[in-house]
Amino acid sequence: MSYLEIDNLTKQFGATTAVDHFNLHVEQGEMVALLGGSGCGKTTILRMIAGFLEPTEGSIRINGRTMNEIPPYKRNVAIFFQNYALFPHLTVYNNIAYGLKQKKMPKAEIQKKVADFVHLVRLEGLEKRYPRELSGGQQQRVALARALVMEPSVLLLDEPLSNLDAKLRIEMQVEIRQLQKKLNVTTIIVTHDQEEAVSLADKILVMSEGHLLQEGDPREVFNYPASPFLADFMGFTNFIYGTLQEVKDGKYYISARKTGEMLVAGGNAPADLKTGDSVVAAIRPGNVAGVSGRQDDRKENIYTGRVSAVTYKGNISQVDILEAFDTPLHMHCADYTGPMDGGEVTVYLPPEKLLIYKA
Amino acid sequence: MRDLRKPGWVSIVLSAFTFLFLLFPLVIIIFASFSPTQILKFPPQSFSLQWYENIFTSSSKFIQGLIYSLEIGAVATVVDIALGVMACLAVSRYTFKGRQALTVFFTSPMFVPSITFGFVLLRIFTRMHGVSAFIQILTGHVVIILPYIIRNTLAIMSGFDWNLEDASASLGADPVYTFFHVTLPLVSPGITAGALLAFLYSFDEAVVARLLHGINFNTLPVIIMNYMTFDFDPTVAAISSILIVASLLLMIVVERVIGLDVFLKS
Amino acid sequence: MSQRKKLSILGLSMPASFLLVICFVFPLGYILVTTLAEDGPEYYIKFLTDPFYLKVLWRTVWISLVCTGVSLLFGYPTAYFLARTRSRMKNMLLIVTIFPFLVSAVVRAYGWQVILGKRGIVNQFLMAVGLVHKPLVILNTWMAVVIGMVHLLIPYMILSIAGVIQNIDPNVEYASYSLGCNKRETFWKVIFPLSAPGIISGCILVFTLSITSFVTPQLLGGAKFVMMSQLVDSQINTVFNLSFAAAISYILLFIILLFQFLANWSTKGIMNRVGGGGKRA
Repeated sequence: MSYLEIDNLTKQFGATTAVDHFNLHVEQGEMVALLGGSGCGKTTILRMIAGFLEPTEGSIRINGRTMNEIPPYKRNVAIFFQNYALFPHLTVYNNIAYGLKQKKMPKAEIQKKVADFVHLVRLEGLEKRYPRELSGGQQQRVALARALVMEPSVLLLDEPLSNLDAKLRIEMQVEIRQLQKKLNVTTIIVTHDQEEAVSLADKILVMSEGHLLQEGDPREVFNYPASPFLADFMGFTNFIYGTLQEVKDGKYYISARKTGEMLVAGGNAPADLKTGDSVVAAIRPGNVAGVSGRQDDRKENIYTGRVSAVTYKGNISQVDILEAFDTPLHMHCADYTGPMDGGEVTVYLPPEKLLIYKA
Repeated sequence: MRDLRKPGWVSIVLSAFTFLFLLFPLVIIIFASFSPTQILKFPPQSFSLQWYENIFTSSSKFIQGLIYSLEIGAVATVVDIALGVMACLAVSRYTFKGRQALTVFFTSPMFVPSITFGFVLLRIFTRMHGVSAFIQILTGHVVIILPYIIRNTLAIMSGFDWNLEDASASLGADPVYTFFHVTLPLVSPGITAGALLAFLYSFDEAVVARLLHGINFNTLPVIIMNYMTFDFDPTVAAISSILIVASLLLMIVVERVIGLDVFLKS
Repeated sequence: MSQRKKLSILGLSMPASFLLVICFVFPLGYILVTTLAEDGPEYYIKFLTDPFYLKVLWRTVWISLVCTGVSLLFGYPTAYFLARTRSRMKNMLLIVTIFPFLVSAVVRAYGWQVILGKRGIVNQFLMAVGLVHKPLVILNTWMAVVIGMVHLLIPYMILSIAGVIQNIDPNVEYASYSLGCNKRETFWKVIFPLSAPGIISGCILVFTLSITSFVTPQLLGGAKFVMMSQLVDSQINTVFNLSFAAAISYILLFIILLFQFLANWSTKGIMNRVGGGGKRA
């Protein structure tokens, strides 16, 4: 028996099905990410676990206890809201103490616990401030402390980092992860950011339109998305269409529609793939390698195309290459020094970085 | 740099005129209340408090009327705060079919002329016999002022972050605690503004109160109106001055406590 | 919709709905039906065919139009000023605008009687400087009624418009300047159209309140300048013809509802396009 068990969870709003027979089992202390674009149903699931929405069908059990009929204020499920939902009329101290007062805890004990958590999230000295007097990062820490101080059975994080700038986001990722491990609280995080999910969670569930598409540990989900749709979502934005020519020694030979032969290591290849099938190969732009003028000793997966645009993006440059395949190919390089617009460029697609799917 | 968003001279001149126009009669009333003569002479030659004395000694029972007006206004406002806030919660916390229609229904007394509504109540109460004038006028006012509370409360609730109620629930607070400790404190400026306008509407209302008056039951505005029809001396100016000063003080308190921006929202 | 939610909505809206149905909708409907059953349409026809009463109706409508126009003419610049000024006097001026709201219409009409009366301030002044030799008759004419009603209603216009102007996104205005419009062009091409919802709701409000007003025309227009509400009142209190009073009451109600419907219907396009006056999302 798992700590949190969600079975056949379904939610319908009128004629639309927001969540369709969703299953999830989470162990005590585990951190699970629900990953998906907006409207995929992830937030609806979160709100059902918290008790703000009633499931149309299915059950939610925490520690063996069915939650369906239990109102939110008796569940001890803490939720961290995307906009933090701090009480604007209460000080930092009173925001954090809010839930403890509900538990009718003695005042001295409340003071001690609040102090502990203020220390834990590094907000010392700000206890008397009001939320609007805090920076975004500080507000977020208050929201986190307010949820964690309850020692919740389950912690729900709704897009916790989406309102922060890039630098703070990475800082908070580390902080959330450390706090979660330290307090060993079962956590579900909802996000649309794959990097956030990968770096925070023990397990990732990718969702779309109310359905679960893939479930697995972060490495697996990140490196071997289960479908072209998921591959695109995970950043494998180059797709090359072709026909499977031959399978030899676990290696797949494809004839790409325009350029001819391509070799794929095929770590993710479906078992039922057979010669003659239409397939699509996918690769991340960052894994496309530029080959400098002189041909090296590699024989396969070398292609030549024409540069159509070079976009400088700060830490990387994106090079758009036409004519190598019938779809444009994107390449990300740390510092690109090759030919500019219109020039000819040669690239290498490492077989072990290519994924193969049925088209 | 030249500030392009500053009001230009056309707007400054016309608004100065408007502000003076708005204040003018109120200032004149205060002057008139101290006038030693029946007719206010300008510039005033001397100063007298006789008309203030007359408020208490006149046969027109201004003080009794004042008390009736205060009583009706207070009871009607308290009743409507309860009804209005509940109604507003229903239409702003939830989304459902017919929500818009329900909102229009709650504010519908605004669309009915006071004279029509007063007349209708008069006919109903005449048929019922034995309902006191207090209850009659109170009934009318409870209906008439409800939209004022609803509109102001809705205006502030439309900007309320309902996630806060969820946050409170997830921290273990039951709905009643949540309402009194989270929702109510945050929407109270709107309720206060609405309640203030509603109370003053009832306090100043003269149409329904005139139609439904009792033999010995007249509210203050009705007494003033009747007095003006038969006598034209500055006693009315004296009592008006007291009301003006009271309103002004109330206004200043409101400005200090909740600010005036709530009036620009509804 | 879940059962719990349904119950909440029902429970919360019940008390107010109950009050309105019992004390508002029922009386209005009941009296309409019973008077029609007792008297038939006779008094409605009488009103709609007698030139005297039609003249009262027409007078009420045009006085209301004049009041709305004058309120807009002076209210708009004032609203603009209030929304935009950064003067330290802003709060004081806002008090000046809202404050008359809190003073009874009866009291304010009294103030105008003192000013406009035969021996009032205006006539005293005009005679003192020798501009006139006989006191002007202002009280009990349309002028006194318009002055009194504008004084009563202009705050509604100002507040409706100021709220909307205050919410216009400043960047929209700056965008217009950067695209080469000067202050006047920006006002007419950007601010004025964006404040349309405030103008519309202000005008609807002022017109509705003028057409139904009683106290101000009664005290400043008197028997010489009768408007619709006064007609109802005189039928009740002096003529004692309750059947006719009922007919006039419901005609007035019908006119208001028709006007509200037409106004909302014809301005729906503008309201939808400009939203709550370009209210920030």
